[in-house]
Order: sequence, then structure tokens, then C-alpha cells
Amino acid sequence: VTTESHFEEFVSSAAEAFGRDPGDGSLAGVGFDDLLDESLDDAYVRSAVFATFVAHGRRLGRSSALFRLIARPYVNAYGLDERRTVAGLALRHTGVTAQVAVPAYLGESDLLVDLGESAGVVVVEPADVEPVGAASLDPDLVQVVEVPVGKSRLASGAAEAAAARVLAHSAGCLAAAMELLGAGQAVMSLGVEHARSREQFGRPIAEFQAVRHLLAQASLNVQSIDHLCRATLRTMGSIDALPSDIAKAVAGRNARRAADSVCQVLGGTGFTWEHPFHGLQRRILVLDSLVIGSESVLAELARTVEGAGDPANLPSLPAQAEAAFASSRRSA
Amino acid sequence: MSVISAVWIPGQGAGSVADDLRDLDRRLDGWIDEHEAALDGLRDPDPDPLRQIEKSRQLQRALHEGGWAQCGWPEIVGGTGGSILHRAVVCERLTRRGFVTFGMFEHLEVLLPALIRFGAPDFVATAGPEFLSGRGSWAQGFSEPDAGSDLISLRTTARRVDGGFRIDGRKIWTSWAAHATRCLVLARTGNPEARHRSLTMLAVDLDDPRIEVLPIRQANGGAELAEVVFDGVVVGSDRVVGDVDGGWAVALEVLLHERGTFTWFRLCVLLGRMRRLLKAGLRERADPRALGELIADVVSARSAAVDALLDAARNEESLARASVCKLQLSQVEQGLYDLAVSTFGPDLTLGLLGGPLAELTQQEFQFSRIVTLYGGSTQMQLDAIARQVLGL
Repeated sequence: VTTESHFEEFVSSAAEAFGRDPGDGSLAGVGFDDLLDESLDDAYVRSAVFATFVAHGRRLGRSSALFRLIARPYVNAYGLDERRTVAGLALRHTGVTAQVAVPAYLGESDLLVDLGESAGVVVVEPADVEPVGAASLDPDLVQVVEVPVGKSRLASGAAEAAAARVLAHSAGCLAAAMELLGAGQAVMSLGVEHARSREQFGRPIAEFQAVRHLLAQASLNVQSIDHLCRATLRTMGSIDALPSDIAKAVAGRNARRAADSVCQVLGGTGFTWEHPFHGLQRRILVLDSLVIGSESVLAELARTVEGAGDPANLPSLPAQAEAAFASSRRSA
Repeated sequence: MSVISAVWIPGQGAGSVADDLRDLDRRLDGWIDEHEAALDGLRDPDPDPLRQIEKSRQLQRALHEGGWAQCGWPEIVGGTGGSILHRAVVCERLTRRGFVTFGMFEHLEVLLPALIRFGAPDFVATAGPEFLSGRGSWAQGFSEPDAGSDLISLRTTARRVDGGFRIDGRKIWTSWAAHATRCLVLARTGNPEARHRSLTMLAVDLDDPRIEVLPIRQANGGAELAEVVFDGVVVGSDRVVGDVDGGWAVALEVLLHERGTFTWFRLCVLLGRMRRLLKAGLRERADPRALGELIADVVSARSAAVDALLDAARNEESLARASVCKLQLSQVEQGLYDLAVSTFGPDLTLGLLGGPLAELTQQEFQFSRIVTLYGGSTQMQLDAIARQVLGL
């Protein structure tokens, strides 16, 4: 039994939990915080953690999982209380205040915000958090708040902070990519189900090649995310790691493409509030813009071409085989 | 200087599969260093198709003499053992070192696995080593004038005669037929109404006088495609690959590799060509957003190819997943040459890039337009995904 073969089981059990309760309650149910107490260098832990995000996407979870995951490396580096700290993702800041993307249900958590190398990391108490009333496209997942950043700054020059930043970014990108995968899979199910049941001209629209090819193209886009996420997960943290922002960018781009195809297949039905499609479409658009936007990653990738004309960051076959064939140290 | 064994044997490394693959990679790299003088001329393709074919033969022979062509193949074909992962590592190292002239030996990864699995052992033990050593090579005779995407409608017949089969009919788009020694022919051995259940795969020698090979002059100037006419060609029963009337299973095995695992090998070649173009100015001149998109597609396609290789190593291949590989590969190949044309403009279209690069890239651009056709058109792959993945 390999760690890899557990992945789909992890997704299923987490999806079941989010199906019962899409919020933070389910995170406790799947032992998410306990998993985060362990190292992502452990393939089994990594597999369970990132499978949670696929399930979160499939079931449109409303939890703070992404923000907890991103906070964790800083929590460890600065010795903060992991149970009451979530990350906020800085959108823009002055020296005095910052606009920050935070979980929809912030509760009594402290907010940890990394403003970048020069401005450093701040921790904001719940009392100082001011909702700005901006219209989030996916208010179940994320809202924008304004926080003061003039005080309670943590030391930013330490090597620990730099390492935490790299880890948090890498984990955040892969988590968002995994959630985009899950949302993409859910979008596919809606499209396929509709094509089978909706009849026009006396037969299911799934029998029309134009419709079949739209759905197959969408499926290709989603399966591509799956392969890339797997490859990224396998070697994460090793010297042969694939930068997870590539997975994030491709996942955002491909999930949007898949959603567009399925939107067309769904016809007018997909444009109604009652139909679940728009929830997934909202999730996909928001995730594509969150952590890092696909546009900036794609432009940056061109600069990774090395002198010998080699694009950096290609998946290494020996490293991929090593991780894929490694037997699991534990049972599921 | 490192000591390099003449023949690399899998499993001689430190233990794990990954160590074994890394060991193989290092040794091959060292061998290329040591034989630089003899090998250098075999790196780049030649714009002249016949000289290019000769170069690819020479490269295959050199790799066989060095013991590298045998890596990852079973003993029955003269291989030294290991798996497709070993072959994948050999191909990657070669292309990284600038060797992108495999030509008709790219076909090894398409045809040889099916021959090994389904061929008569004595025949495989003769034909396999010929292919690996570069003494022989294979053409793939599937399509016919009236059976392209609808392969099952093919009409070439193979009728039972004393001790074997007599083949009559006409194949088209038969890759490498004018240069290969043998051809894998899918023919009808029973009632056409039985559709895929009356097809048989046969291995045919192309030097038979009752075979006429009519080369097709290609739009890109290349010479790999041909029309092949069979007029009463008789082959022995030992040339049946798989079961009589069981040819469809063999064809599917070929397609599984052509669409699936072959993606890794073709991507290695494309990356080799991409490095050449990047060094020739694509890196500085291309729109960064467009180049980034291409690189993201390469990383994506390569991830799918890794999964295809791992599936093959575990004997868990699937034709539906192979279609996903094939479609991603086509996107990369066309994307690379679209970017080259839009970036270099008249320097490419009017032949002003230095040396043979403009001519080669023009040919490769034109070839990239048919990658969405061979091995099953993009539309056929989408049909396969709709049917087999989505259950529609």
C-alpha cells in the first residue's frame, strides 16, 4: 500500500464530513488541526491535508482551512497559539492599515498578516478587525477586512520568518489548486448529469457531439489539474519539488475554462440562483484570484528559463517514481 | 574520469527504483561525455529527410553499441531488463544532451511493447533485437483510404492459405514504410459484419516483391508517410501477432502506448527542440506571458506523462487516460510552434534564422499541424473521454 493509494479515501471521508457540516466544525471532525501539528514533510500527513482541500472544493466547504494552513508555518516560527490564529492575505496596505482577505467566519481568531519582506508580519486581535463591506463573490469562503498594521509587528528579518513565508506560500498555492480541482470535479458532475437528463429534439443532449465535446474538453482541463497536483504533492518539500504556484496557476486557468464549458452545457438552468453551478463558479473565480493570481505566475515562468535554454521546474521522473512507489508508513 | 560499463544492468544501483534510475542517468551522461567526438554529428536533425533518416539509424546503432538502446527492454528482444521508466530516463538524458534525431526509432515505444506482449516468441526474439540495434525498423499499417478515424471499417483482407495468410489491400499514412524493414498490418480475417472481432494483426516483411510502397510527398517536405499496396502477400502463421480475429486487442495496446506513454518520449524531443529555439532568441524575443503559458502547459503535460509511465510500470494503463495525455501533448507541440512563428515572424517564415534552424523549424511547424490527426484525431480523443471517462 502506498501513501498515494490513500489519497482518494481521504478525499471521500472529508467530503462526507463537509457534506454534513461545511464549516469549521468538520475540520475538527477530520482532525485537520492535528494533522497540521505534524510536518508536511511526511507524505502521509501531506496527503491527508491536501485531500481535505479537494473535498472542500467538491462540497463548497465554508471553513477556514486555507487560512489555517497558511498561518501554520508562521505560528510555528513565532511560537503563537495555533488554535486561535488564522492567516489573512494582504491585498494592499499603507503604513497604517491593510485590506486583508480573511475567512468568512472569523470568530475570535487572531489574524496573522504577512505584508512582505520589508513591511514584515503583523498579528491583529479580533477587536481591531473592521469589515469593509466589500462584495465578495464567494462570501461563504472569504471576506475583506481592514486592519491596523502600525503595531504588534513581529520580527521580520529572522531566517525563520523567511522560511515560514516560503512554506506558507507553497502550501497555500497547492491547497488552492487542490480546492480548484475539487470544484472543477463538482462542475463536471453537474454538466454530465444535466447532459444525461435534459432532452431536446426527443433525446438527451448528451447524444449531441457538440455537447459531448464541450464536456470532454472540460474534463480534459480538470484531469490536467489532477495530474499536475499529484506531481506537485509527491515531491513537495524535496530538492526535486515542483513550485506549487505552477499548479495554482494552471488549476485556476483550467477550472475557469471547465466552468465556462459546463456553463454553456447547462443552458439557462445554470443561470438560476437555485442551481448549484453559480456557487462553484464563484468559488473558482475567487480561488483563481487568491494567494497568487495565475496571470502573474505565467508571466514569471518565462523568467525561469535558464541560460542553457532549459525551463526550470520540470517534474523529475526518478523523484516522482520514488514518491509514488514509497510504501505508506501507516494505515489509513 | 568515471569507469563506464559497456552494458548497464538495472538493479545494480543502491537499491530503490529512483536510485536505479539516477544511476542509469549518471552513467549515460558520462558515456556521452566520453564519446562526444563520435556522437556530436548525430545531435541535430538534418533538413534533408533522407540524411535525417540515416542519422537516426546511426544514432540508434551507436546507442546499441553502448548498451543504452537495450535498457528497460526484456531479454526476449535482446534487452537488459528494467522497465519503461528506464527507457524514459535514457530518452530524457539524450534529449537534454541535444540528441533529438530519433526519427523512426521513436516508433519503438509505440510498437515494440505490443509486439512483445502479443507476438510469437520466436519471431519476437528475431525482430526485436533487429529493431533495437537499428538493423531493422517498423512501419505501422493501420489506416486505409476509407478507414481513418473509423478504423474498424478497414477492408484489407488476410485469407487463410496453407501455413499462413494471404494479404490483399491498401494501407495509407503508413509511417516510415519506405524506409522500414517490417510492417505491422491490421487486416480483416473474417466477416466484415463482425466489425472489430474479425480483425487480425500480422507482421509483414516490407521487402516482399508483392508489396508496393508509394511514398507520399508531405507538405513539410518530410518522407515518413507512404501508401502501401499488398497484392497477394503470403506470410506464415508465426507472423500472427496476438490471436486470429483478436487483432483489435493488439491495436488497442499500440494505441495505448501511442497516445499514452509515448507522450513522455515525444515531450522529451519537443523539450530538446524548445531549448534549441530558446537559445536561438525565443527566450529574449517571446512575449513573457505567452512563453509562460507554454511552459505551464509543458509542466502539465509532463505530469500527465509521468502518471502514464507510472501506470504502465504498475500494469494499470487506461486508454481513456491515454487520450488525456495525447490531447495535452498536441497542445504543447502546436503551442511551441505557434509561439515560434508569432515571435520570430519573417525571420522564421522567410528563412533568416541562422544555419538550418529556420528550415527545420518551418518543417516542424508544418508537422505540428497534423499532431491533432495521427494516433486518433482530437475529435476521436474527445469522443473517447466523453464515452469512457464521463460515461456519456
